[in-house]
Amino acid sequence: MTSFALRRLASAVPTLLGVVVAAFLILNLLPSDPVLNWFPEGAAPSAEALERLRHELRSEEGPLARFASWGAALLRGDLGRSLVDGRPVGSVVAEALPWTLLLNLCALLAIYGLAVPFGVCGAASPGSIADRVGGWVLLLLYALPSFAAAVLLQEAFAVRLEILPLQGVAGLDAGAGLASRGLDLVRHLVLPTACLALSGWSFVARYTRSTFRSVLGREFLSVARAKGMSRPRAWRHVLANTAVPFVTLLGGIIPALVGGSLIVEHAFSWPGLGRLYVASVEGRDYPVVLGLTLLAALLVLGANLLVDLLYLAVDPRIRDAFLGERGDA
Amino acid sequence: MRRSVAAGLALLAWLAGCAPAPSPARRAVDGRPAYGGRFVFPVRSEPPTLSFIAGDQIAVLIDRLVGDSLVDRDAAMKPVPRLASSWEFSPDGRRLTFHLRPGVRFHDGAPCTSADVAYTYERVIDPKSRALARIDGFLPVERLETPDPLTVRVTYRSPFAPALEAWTVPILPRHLFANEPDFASSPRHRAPVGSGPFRFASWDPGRRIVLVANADYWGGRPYLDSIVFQIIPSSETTLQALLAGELDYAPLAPLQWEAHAGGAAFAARFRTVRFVQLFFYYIAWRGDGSNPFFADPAVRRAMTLALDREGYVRSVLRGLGEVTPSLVPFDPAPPGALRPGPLPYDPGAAASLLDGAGWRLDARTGLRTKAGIPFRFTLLIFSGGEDHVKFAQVAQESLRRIGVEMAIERLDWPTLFSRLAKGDFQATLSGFLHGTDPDDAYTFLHSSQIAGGRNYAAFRDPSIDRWLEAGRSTLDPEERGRLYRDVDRRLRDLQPYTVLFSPAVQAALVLQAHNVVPTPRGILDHYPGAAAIYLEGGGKP
Amino acid sequence: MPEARRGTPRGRRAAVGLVLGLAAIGLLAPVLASERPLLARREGVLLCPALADLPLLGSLFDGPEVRSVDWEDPGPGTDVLLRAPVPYSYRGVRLGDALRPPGGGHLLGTDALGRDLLARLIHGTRPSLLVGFGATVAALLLGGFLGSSAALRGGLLDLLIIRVADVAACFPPFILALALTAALGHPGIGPMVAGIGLSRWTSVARYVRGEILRFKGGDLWASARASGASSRRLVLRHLLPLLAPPLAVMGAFGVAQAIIMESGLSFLGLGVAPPTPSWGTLLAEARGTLDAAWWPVVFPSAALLLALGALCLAADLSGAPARDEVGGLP
Repeated sequence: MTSFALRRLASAVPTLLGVVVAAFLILNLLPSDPVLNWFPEGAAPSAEALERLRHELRSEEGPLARFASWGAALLRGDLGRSLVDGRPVGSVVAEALPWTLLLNLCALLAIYGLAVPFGVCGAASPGSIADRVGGWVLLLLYALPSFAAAVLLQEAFAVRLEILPLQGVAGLDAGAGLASRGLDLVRHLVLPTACLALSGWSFVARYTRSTFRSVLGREFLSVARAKGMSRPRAWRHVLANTAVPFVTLLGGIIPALVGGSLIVEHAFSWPGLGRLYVASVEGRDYPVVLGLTLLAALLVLGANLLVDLLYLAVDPRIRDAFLGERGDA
Repeated sequence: MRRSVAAGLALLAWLAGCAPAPSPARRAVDGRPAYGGRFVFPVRSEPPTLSFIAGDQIAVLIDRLVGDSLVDRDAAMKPVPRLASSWEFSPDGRRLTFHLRPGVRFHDGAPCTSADVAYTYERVIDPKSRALARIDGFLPVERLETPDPLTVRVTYRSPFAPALEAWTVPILPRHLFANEPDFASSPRHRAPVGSGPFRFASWDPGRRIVLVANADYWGGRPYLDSIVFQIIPSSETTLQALLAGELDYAPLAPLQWEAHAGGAAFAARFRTVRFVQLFFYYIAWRGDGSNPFFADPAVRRAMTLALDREGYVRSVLRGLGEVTPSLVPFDPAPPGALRPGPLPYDPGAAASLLDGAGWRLDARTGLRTKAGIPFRFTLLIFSGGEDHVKFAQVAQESLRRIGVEMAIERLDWPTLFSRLAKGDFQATLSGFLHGTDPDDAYTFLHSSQIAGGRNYAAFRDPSIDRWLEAGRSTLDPEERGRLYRDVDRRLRDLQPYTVLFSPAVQAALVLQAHNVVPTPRGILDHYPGAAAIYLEGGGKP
Repeated sequence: MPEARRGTPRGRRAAVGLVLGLAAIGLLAPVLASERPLLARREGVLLCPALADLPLLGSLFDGPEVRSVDWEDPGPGTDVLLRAPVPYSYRGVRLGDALRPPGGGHLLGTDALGRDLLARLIHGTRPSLLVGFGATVAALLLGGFLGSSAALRGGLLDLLIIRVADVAACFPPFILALALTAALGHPGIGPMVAGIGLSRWTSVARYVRGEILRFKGGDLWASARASGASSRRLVLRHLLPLLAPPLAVMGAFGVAQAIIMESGLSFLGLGVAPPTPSWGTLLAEARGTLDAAWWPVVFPSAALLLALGALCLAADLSGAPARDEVGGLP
């Protein structure tokens, strides 16, 4: 198992390399002119001003040369500086990362905490009133666009009832104490978390339900039940069998944690990574985009490693398959 | 009785707020201004940096509160002294001399002198600073001299009437940047220091930027204790934040007014300020013969006549805007009735103009056709703007009704700009953020601006070229006014561009705030502007 | 589960009916909502102007006598005999009618430019479904093929596919779709389908690969292989029915996500050009009027909900045959 983990870690290097190259390609596929992204549409510069600036930039470096020097610096552990304000990429990303992680982890907990039990109940008694009505209600919440859900939540809880803060991560007059600041933050988290969770519940609940049902429908269970296996023992088997798809799903969701949710961040003035990502892609801020992508890549690789280790833990048959493979090689 | 007095006060305050050019020294209706209080002002996006040279409009706004410029504009957009107590042009119009106010100090206590002015000029024109928007007014400068600490002498290559506009940039503290290895990426741009009425206090990334009053300001301490620029990207959330009492001022979209701002509860908390921005939308018709349609002035006139600009302002903007009278912004002479208005909306006249120009309806296709060529063209628009895409669709329908087929192509800004610069288009709808000098029209109209400039219509007219050149080098306001009115009249006939409309900003302001003067540049960005605002009773309890 | 079994045929009929109904609305949009009448008489000749906009068949009904008339105001000499069910054009701007609430002449109200919302919703069906289904089918096929190949072949191919999937998963889907669509050149529905599809196959591939690997460790696999069955046949015959229900859920939500993503790409000028509507662009437009009008948000959302609901119903039922075969459940 340890050697397997080590092998996975070693194989992460080419992936990281691939991610960096892909990020560079994507930035060049997008229609782009870094100079023109520095000012708005209505305030186009004069031809003379533009020519001077281009001359200056050309005299600096072309995109490929810049990429090469960025890569060289990365090998020394230096992520470079933002082209927009000259700050180190590390500190630009570090400013937004905790907010995004905090919000998305809360949302993830809210989604799974509600959707998985609901999906399991639905799988246990498909077609029941609760299953059907609940299913449609969750679908309704999913179909409600996030921007509209945000406004509804804000109007109800922040403006009408005045029980929760409207936007941002901290009030202007939040107390100085750790406890009061913590409470202030928790209160600010509620609405954006709810807004993010609204759109996640339905998918996870249905996924859970169908996964459970497909396991419930398998032959070995009916055989075992016919042979007199007790109900709780049968459920244990079901859980063991459904763990794998769940682990897979989790592996797909973790990278999304970094992407951030643009609409929810926008609506709740949440200072997260989503806005940073879009702004830096739009502004062709290569070092920041590459830094963010690397961060996402590390998370993805970490998640995948975790997923594979979990596979091994939850399902001995996969372990055999993996070990057998290694034996072949 | 109390209520009627309050209503009267509110009405008076409203009237005061909306008067065209009230004196900035005006006292509020209920007595003397009070010191203190926090004014929370929403901004839609976070500035990437607070360097006015490379930053966005919000960075410029904040820098102009933190720093002092040599001259500034008052609420009526007339030049007023700020750091320079006076200035004069030499008789030949080439040399501009500023006399600085003595005894002015930066927030760190260092004196502000002509050397700082020279430093600021050098930074703006240095390509390494990546200045774009601020640089055009400085490019015609031949040299800048500082004969003594309180005198700045600027010599232009030729007489340059719009010279003052460029000197509204805030003056940078040279001594603080002297030790910085790289100006453009200096961390000082995240904590600017100037000599202005407000000091920079803090910047919480993604959340807010806070300025506090400069108690030692040479012009007297501003009334407010602090101004908080609260970053709220969403317009819906801005409205909610206003209603929740988190903001003291909020520009609202036309529909937001209709839906939320009508009631008595709203009027009991807020009053309305309104101003038309220095911004207009236009359609440029590429008239260099690269397409068979728009080289003919009659066709361009027909296009303008066919577009219902008035109806758009009335229905979509809900009246919050005006049809822009002309491509030439602001009259330097007193605005007279001599300026021609925009062409009216008259689809019938448009149709007969097209008939006259040889574009006749073809019954088989329902399209106008001339010499076998159907009248079918593509309008390029910027994908980021809501009004762009809405007006384009209105125009598409209006033109379809007179037998002209227009396709809409949405483009991201870099692609759009490069196609405009190459002249690779037939027509484009775009916006322009202009200044207060009519010389801003030069870049759209002068034939020298076709190659690489902003003359997207490829418009070439010898007499307009001549008038624009004369307007640039004439200092006499009367004479300039006459020249630009000539330009206006000829433009009305030739219509190289169809000028569409300027959106208005209508904002809610808490009733406690006084001395708030709306101008085309908003309520803060003029002089004394933000420094004169005060909150009743020194702010909220 | 007696009630579920009883519900199955009805549920299946409903699901299939809903999807087919939406497809029919998409195909027949020019007839359902048009400012042109279905039947009119002009100078003694009977015309079917609305039918002229139909795909494929339209040219049969087209002609100068149809094109030369402004059907919103046909004038004398033309008798309108039968109007379209929704007698408005999806692009018919009427500034005076901006943001009318539902009711009166406009069943679902009008948008900010006074265009009939129902007409726009009907005309938005085709591009939305094309993009939603097209991109999702592409993602499922590609992901299924690559995932199963990776699991069955193993070795270098597995490594390669999983590496590529890892790399693709490191980018937010929208940015990936944006770059891919832009790379495919000219704007339009085809490149958009490819771009969205290519940006979404990784989770399918990962799921399929994981399940096959798990199955491969089991006794059933070993005994089947021993009896000479090919592994691809095994996957198709025995594994696919087991994988289908979760994949169907992924697919159903994938359609909805692709429909939303389409509006983002169209906004950037890579998808459908205005005034052509799609559900996603209708929602995007509704955002601008959210503070004053609920109907532009609610009805496109409802359309999305309907499509998604039908797909989820179908996804639920896709697991049914397997259960019927094995009989009793715990």
